[in-house]
Amino acid sequence: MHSRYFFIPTLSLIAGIGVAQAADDLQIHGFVSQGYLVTMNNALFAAQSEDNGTFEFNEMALNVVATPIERLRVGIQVAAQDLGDSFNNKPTIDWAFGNYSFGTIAPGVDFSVSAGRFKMGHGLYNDYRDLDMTRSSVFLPMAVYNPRWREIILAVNGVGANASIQAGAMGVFDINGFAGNNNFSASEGPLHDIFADIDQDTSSLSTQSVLGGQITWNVPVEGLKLKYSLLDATQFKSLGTYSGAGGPGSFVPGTAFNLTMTNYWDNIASVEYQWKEFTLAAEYDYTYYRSKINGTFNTGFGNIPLELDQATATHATYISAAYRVLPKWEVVGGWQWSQTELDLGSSTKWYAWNAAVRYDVKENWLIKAEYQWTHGTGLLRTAEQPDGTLEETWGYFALKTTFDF
Amino acid sequence: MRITVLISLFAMTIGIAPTVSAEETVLVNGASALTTISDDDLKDYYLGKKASWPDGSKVTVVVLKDGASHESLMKKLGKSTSQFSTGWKKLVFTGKGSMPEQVGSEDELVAFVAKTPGSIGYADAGKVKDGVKAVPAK
Repeated sequence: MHSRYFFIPTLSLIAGIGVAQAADDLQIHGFVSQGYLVTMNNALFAAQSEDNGTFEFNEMALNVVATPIERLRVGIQVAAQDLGDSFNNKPTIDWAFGNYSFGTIAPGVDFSVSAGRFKMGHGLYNDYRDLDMTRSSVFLPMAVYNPRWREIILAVNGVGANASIQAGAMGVFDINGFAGNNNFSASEGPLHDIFADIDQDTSSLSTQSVLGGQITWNVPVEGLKLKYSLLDATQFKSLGTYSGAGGPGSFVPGTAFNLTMTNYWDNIASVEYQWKEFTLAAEYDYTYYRSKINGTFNTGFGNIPLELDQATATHATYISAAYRVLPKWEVVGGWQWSQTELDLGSSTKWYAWNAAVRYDVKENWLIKAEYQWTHGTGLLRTAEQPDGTLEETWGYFALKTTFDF
Repeated sequence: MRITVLISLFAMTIGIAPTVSAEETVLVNGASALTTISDDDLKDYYLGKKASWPDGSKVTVVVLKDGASHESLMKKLGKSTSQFSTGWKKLVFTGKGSMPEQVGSEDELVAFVAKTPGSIGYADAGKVKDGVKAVPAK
């Protein structure tokens, strides 16, 4: 199954290297980020983050881009990251795609297509979530850009189409859509952990298709843009066996225990306003998915096949304001909130305040510091806690430095 | 009038040169077919939204590191220098663009545009030389 997912990127890689050798405009860029994360009252991403802190918090990437023939750009980026117990600096193909621009196909309309593995436009910042140098904060607001769901919405293997429409007094509309698939690790990573938390020993993670798009309205007010993004992951399946303790009123250990999300819908409405050195951003995210859990259930009088059908809806929002107070110094502050509701009855919510400062030592070297105070446990895993319990009020302090070239 | 002349003579005597504000212009390679450029197109090329000229050839953007012409360009684009730089890094590290060439002086910028087909720069109009064409923004 996974060989199919790697086919397109690999093909793009081979094609990319081949044409890059012939191109005279080849560019190579890269970056390295190293962070330190210490948490108070709860652990986040790794047990040692609490009190002691962890340096397992870094990203790095190297890319090559070339324009071998008119209108065609090809490139590849290999990236690795470490986020506590996840990823562990395993190199992956972050993106590898070709983009062909048809130029202006009608008055005021520019059009291009992409194929390969490319970053998924979703919300204001999903494409840039691993690019520390593109923001003032250390973390993006986790209410909308939750690192635990990163693997689902990071990139897509498939095709995309992009159009830019100049609409006169109405401004400019940028529209793009994509269709394809994705590949996930069943043995490690934040997505694997989500299923481990419901006592599944996961053997495979897959999705039938990933479809999505976004429309950005650059309104005729300098620096203001509005955006709507939609993502649909169809038939997301997590297959495995039940690994819980078992007993009456529970699924039977060692038997098939599968979860299928028939549709995973994620909608984000966004607004960003840049005026001089000031940037204001706000987004609202509504995620809905219906999941079916199949397994063998111990009633206490015998084992029976059981299917649980459950709908989950998450509302999340944030607002942030950044201001470059001096040429090398920028400050940012924000508030975020998230609430997850299950139709079987339970509901969890959390909110947080954060503040960060960024110092640009050089054009290609920055240092940041960030503090976040959080009420609620929606971002946390019990399995990561050294004492196995969750505190309602907690926080983190993060330092990060990034070099790029 | 007489007083103005006297003041000017006095200023020159004590070494104060009258301030002349430089006029910046868009520069393209001399072989370009471009005769004018709209503000929207200028933004599209400089912010990486368009990477090809209308004839399909590649756009090579060249920028100054700093200085009055660079600040004038940023004002025209509606971006601060840090926003401009961040915007390009977003494109480069998602595979959606190639980083602009960066040069240290207007002379270097003009020389780059002169030798690079498809290039576009923004500099003092007084720096225009053979191989480079000033393109009025409309």
